Amino acid sequence: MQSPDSRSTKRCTVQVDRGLEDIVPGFLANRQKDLQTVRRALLEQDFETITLLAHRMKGDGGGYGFDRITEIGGDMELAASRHDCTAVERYTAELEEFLLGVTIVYV
Amino acid sequence: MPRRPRFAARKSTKPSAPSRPSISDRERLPDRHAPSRVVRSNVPFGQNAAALLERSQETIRKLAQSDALNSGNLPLAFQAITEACSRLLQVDRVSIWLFARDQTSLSLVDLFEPRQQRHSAGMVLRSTDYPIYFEALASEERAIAAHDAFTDPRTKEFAHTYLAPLKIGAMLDALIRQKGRVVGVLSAEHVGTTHRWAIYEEQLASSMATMATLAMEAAERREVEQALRVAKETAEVASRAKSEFLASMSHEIRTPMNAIIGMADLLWETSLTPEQRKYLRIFRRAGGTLLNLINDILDLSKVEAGHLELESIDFDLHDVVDKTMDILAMRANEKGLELACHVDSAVPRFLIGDPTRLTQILINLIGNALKFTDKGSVTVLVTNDPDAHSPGAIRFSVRDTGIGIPDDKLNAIFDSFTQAHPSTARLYGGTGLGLAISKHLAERMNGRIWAESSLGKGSVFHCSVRLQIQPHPSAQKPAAQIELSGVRALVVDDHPTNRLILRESLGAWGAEVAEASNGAAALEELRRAAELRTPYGLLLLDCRMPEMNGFQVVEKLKASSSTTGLTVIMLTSDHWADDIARTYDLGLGGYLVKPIRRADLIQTIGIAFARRQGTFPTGSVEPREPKPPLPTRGLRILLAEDSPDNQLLVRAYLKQTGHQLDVVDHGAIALEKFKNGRYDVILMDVQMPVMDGYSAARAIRKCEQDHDLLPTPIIALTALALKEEAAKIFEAGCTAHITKPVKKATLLEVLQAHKGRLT
Repeated sequence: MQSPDSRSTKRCTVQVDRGLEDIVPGFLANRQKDLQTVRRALLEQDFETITLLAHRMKGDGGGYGFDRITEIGGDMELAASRHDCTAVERYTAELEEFLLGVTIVYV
Repeated sequence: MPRRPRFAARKSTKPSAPSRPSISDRERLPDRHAPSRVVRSNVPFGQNAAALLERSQETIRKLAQSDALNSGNLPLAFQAITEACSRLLQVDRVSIWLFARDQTSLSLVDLFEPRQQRHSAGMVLRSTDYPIYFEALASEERAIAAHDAFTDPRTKEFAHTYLAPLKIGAMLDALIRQKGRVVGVLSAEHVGTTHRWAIYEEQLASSMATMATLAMEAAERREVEQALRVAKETAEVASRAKSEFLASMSHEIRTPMNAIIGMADLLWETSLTPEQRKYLRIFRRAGGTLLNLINDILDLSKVEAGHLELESIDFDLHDVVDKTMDILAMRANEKGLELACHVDSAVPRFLIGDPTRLTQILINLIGNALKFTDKGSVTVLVTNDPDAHSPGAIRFSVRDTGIGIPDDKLNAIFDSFTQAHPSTARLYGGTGLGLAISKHLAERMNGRIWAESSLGKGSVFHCSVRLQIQPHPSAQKPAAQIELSGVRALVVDDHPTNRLILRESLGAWGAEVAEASNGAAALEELRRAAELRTPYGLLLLDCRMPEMNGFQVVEKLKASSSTTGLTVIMLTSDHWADDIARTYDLGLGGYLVKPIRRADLIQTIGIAFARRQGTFPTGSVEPREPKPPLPTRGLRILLAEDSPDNQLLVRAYLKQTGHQLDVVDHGAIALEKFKNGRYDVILMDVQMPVMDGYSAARAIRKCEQDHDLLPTPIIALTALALKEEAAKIFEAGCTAHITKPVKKATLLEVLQAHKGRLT
């Protein structure tokens, strides 16, 4: 089991296929990197990069068991496509919050 | 009738050495006076007439029915006739003479002299020697009744050469006719006196002449029959020799052909350039076609040579039918045809016969139907033969909506190497041997094959066979069962046969079954049932229906939250891979690929209920029958995906599955990998840098077309949800799509389905 970050305010538990145990930490670490990349891209108004990352989150999250990441990715992709900085920031925050609060149970 | 004295004299000592009469012979004959007394007929009329008539009729009847007359043995028949005639007419000599083909001579074929009880033959008379007599034979309608042969103008030219030496006083010559022509003469002669021939005697002589005609016709008939028999036997010997030669040759050819094809298969597994692969594909295809042809010839020649032994073993008819449908399902799906099969519940299941050859017949009939049908359906009905009324007499009827067969070709199509349309072989391939073989096989099973057709509308091929029923079928495995009592099921399919199959099966397992033939009717029925608080628990829904397809029905149901408590099973045929993915994506109960097998239906319903309710329905569910052995290797899969996390994910999904995975970051590399490798399946992300999935799929399809390669399944991985985008995926050449995020179960199920279809 992977415990949530103590800073998290919203906690949730996600059941993940045990076969993915090796790659889930890497996946979540990459999302942490995405947070930084998206924030940097926001500063540079680089919506292309944000769209790409959000699209991948949408496509990948549910496969790992994180449907919430797929949802956030989908919303962020739409926001980026309309160059809506505020919304992108909001979804970035939602992603950060999810990453901090998620507890993973391998089944 | 003239007889030469020299002949008569010789006959007594050397009857088998007749000689021709000549002028000089005749000139040497002693000149005898004719008898001066003419007596009346020695057969009295009056009180004996009736008895005589009766005796005559009896003799003629016996003669007509005698073996001698009908056996075709002409000498024997003539002897019987002359003897009977001498008895009836009470004359001293009776003879039969036949004309030569040119009518210029008569040959004696039998002379009977009752006093000596002697038969003789062999003399020849020429028209040039007895012109008046020959002229009389040609012109007389009735018998020549010469009461006094010495004075009768028609016979007197025989006086010195024949009548006087033999003391013949009266001659009665009845004409022997055949097919309207005079072919000979039957002659009755009195010795020592003249004789006034009575009418009845003329008639008797004519009847005897008719007997001669019958004998000749019987002989001719026998000759023709003999010639026919000889010709038939010769043909059969030749045919058998041909069949044996073909059987032997086919076997001899097949052995090296197997090696050639086997080596080509091995070569196919190696690394090849696209050009080499193109040549090798043609090589393998041609090899396969040739092998099929040889196998067909081998079968046909075995049947014709009488070498084909049918087995007589216990078998399960359902297994035979299911196996056949499994083999042909892919072909139907590839052509987008509906293939359905219904085995009537009254048909005995556990039979004794040759299941392999029965399967061969069914594959041929259904395969033909699929071949000649471009649109619509092929339906197989298995019933007890309505014309036979005996247990084990089973009829298979294969109905298609294909091109049909002209009336005048309906019988010829069962001949070897014959197809209904001259262009058929070119358009559809095949040797035309399959139906001929099937016909022989059906006949060997005491049945037959026939067809009905309507040109342009379709055909029905019927095959009836007579099989034995196993006396103790209880020893067999029990039929698969599932208990569906209390389950309300709705079957939705535009194809009535599929509804019939599902209704019968579900009904037999206790479900309460209703039907709908389209999506709108199904939605209405579900709504009505919900209102009445009698909701359905099971929905079997055809994916492909006109106007509203199965997935649209599901979307509407989900939108109205009407899926609560409802287990949905999708029925898919063509585009099956895509349908399977969508079924899993939508979280539905399961799917069935048509044609629907009972065992699969039970299994799928069982699993779907278990998934929804956490338990199986009550009752026993037969374990899934062992699938045919899977190919020893897994699939070779190419994944084109730009997301490293998704690459990792798919790798993780496929770990320990036996599949081999190559991963590339975008479409351009995927295209290169495709050109230089060989893959069973390509998983293609749609949105990728450098070259997206659409362009890559299009480029791969073009490459396949340029190099005459069979299309590799391309499964698009897409987060897109709009229908227009789905259409774009198919337009680009993808065969199916899986919606991202890709779930493990969906991916594995789709890959497993592909693996099952690996050839």
